[in-house]
Amino acid sequence: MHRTLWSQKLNFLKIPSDKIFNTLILTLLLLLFLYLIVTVVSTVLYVRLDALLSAILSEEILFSIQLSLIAATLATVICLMVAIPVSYALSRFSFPGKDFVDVTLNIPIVTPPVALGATLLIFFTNTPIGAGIENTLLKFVFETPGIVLAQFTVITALAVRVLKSTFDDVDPEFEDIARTLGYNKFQAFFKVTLPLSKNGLMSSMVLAWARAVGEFGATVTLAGATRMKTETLPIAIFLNLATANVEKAVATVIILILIAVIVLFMLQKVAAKGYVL
Amino acid sequence: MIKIEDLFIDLGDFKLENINLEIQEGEYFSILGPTGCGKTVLLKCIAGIYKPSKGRILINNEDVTKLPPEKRRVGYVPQDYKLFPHLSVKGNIAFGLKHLKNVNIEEEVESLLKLVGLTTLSKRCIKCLSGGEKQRVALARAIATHPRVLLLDEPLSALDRGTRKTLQRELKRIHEEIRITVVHVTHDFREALNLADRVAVMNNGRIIQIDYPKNLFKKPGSLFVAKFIGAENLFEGTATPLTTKLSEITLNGIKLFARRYINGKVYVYINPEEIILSERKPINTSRNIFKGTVEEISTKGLYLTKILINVGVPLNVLIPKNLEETLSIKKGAQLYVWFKEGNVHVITHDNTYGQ
Repeated sequence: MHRTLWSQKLNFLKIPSDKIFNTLILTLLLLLFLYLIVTVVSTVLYVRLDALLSAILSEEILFSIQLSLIAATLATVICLMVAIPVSYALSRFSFPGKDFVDVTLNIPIVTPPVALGATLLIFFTNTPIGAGIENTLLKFVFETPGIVLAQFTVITALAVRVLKSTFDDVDPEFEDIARTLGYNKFQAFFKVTLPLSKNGLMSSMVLAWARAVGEFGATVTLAGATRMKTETLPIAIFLNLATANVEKAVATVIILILIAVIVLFMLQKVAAKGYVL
Repeated sequence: MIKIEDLFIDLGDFKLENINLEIQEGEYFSILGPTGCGKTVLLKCIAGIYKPSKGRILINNEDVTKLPPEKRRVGYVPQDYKLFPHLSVKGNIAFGLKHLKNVNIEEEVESLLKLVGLTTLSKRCIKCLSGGEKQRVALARAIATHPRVLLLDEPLSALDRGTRKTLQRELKRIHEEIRITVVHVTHDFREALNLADRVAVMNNGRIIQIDYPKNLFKKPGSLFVAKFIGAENLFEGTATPLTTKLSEITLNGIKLFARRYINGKVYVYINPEEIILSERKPINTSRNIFKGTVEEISTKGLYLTKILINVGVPLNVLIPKNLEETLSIKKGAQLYVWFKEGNVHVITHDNTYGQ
């Protein structure tokens, strides 16, 4: 005698099990989709169009857009300049303690950004090295460079992950061939390995930049939330909600969603070209 | 010309030891050995991809041991061609040419495509090529820079039978046309036999024998070589010299005669093509005449039949198909076999270090 499964007991209407199963999962898919659409659309519809437009064109929001784009782009450029050699080293070399180094480099991925920001803040204010940098080289605490540094810290770990697996997939023998054909190590890297990593480079760049634009926790902790000074788009949402300026907050949300759509579209393009994400 | 002196390299789980080689200018040289014997590592040492920890490598009398690959002027075709997938056929072939001065790339690529027998494919993408076409492009890319040596790693093993034969002929033709020194790594003895002027047999990171391919087949220096080149009818026995030029070998109750002076434990083998079958007792001077029972008849290709005949030991005999039909050989039939004393190939036991 077989034990009756609960799903069999339920089936008193004699409907085939696959139909019930498919209906269930498709319903969930629809619900999740509607959940996102309804929340976003109703937020957008909450404010009147003319109020929204004037909010977007307000000096504060225009400043935020500009600051966010510049900071994120700068952070991405620095990030790639560091992440490309670092991930190549992780992919090609083995050395004692490599596992430990690998885990350490992953910390920013799994640590809350606010904790990273706190670490940076304490480093630059309370430690001799950090304070020394603050006083002599560049001020990060509650200043604009702090935005770039906070974003860089968060996104570089991400870019290293993507790029390491990209370089893992490029057979080192391609460089060997280039070497036998007269290319030195640098030339072989730039003429063979980098072009062959185009997919990974593109996706890590887009992902890192998008993550930098959306960065809030580390930025607000290190660079602070000063209106018209360290006010990136996410910080603008925070500040405007705090002062109950809903139009401006919604305007910022819309801009961020637009950026997200563009980014997703670009990633899809990359994927369509056979680029692996 | 390549000269390798006392080369040693330790790759952790694998070692190349005591490698000594001299390859002549323009020679087609083959390195033969089973998977994992170190033949690819040796090739990569010549290319400069691996740095040996001891020994010297000379190319045209220049010591290149410490030179990086880009300074060695060697052409290298790896096992799976490794054509650059981000470049076209032309881009691949022109890759090394971009470094040379006073070169008309268009013309060079054109003539290289002609040399390797691909004229219409210049603009094609790498993914759209067949295996044979990829191999030709890889060859063209490697010889484009006029290297002093061409290194080929299992160039034919990934191809289907027909393409392999065609490309084998092409390799021969290209070698004759440009007269470059070629080092061809393979695990297929027949490939070496067809192409190479000389062959080095490798096992376990060492070179066991360097010889002309025909000699390897006729006189393998060790049991390993005999087995590796596919020697059949290989038996262990005990030899007693009768005269300075004749010995008697006892194996499993039967006595064979070999035209050599040998004493003690030996291996012998007789090529299946060199054994003759007859219905009646043959009348000749050979001392190696035996009567046996046919145990198995199998087809070997279109024109040959393989017959397993037990004469005390199981002997494989290859005969033309029409002879099989004339004799109408049946399983269980009693037949005579004979072979010349000179065709009993002997491997003495102290030569078996290659196991």
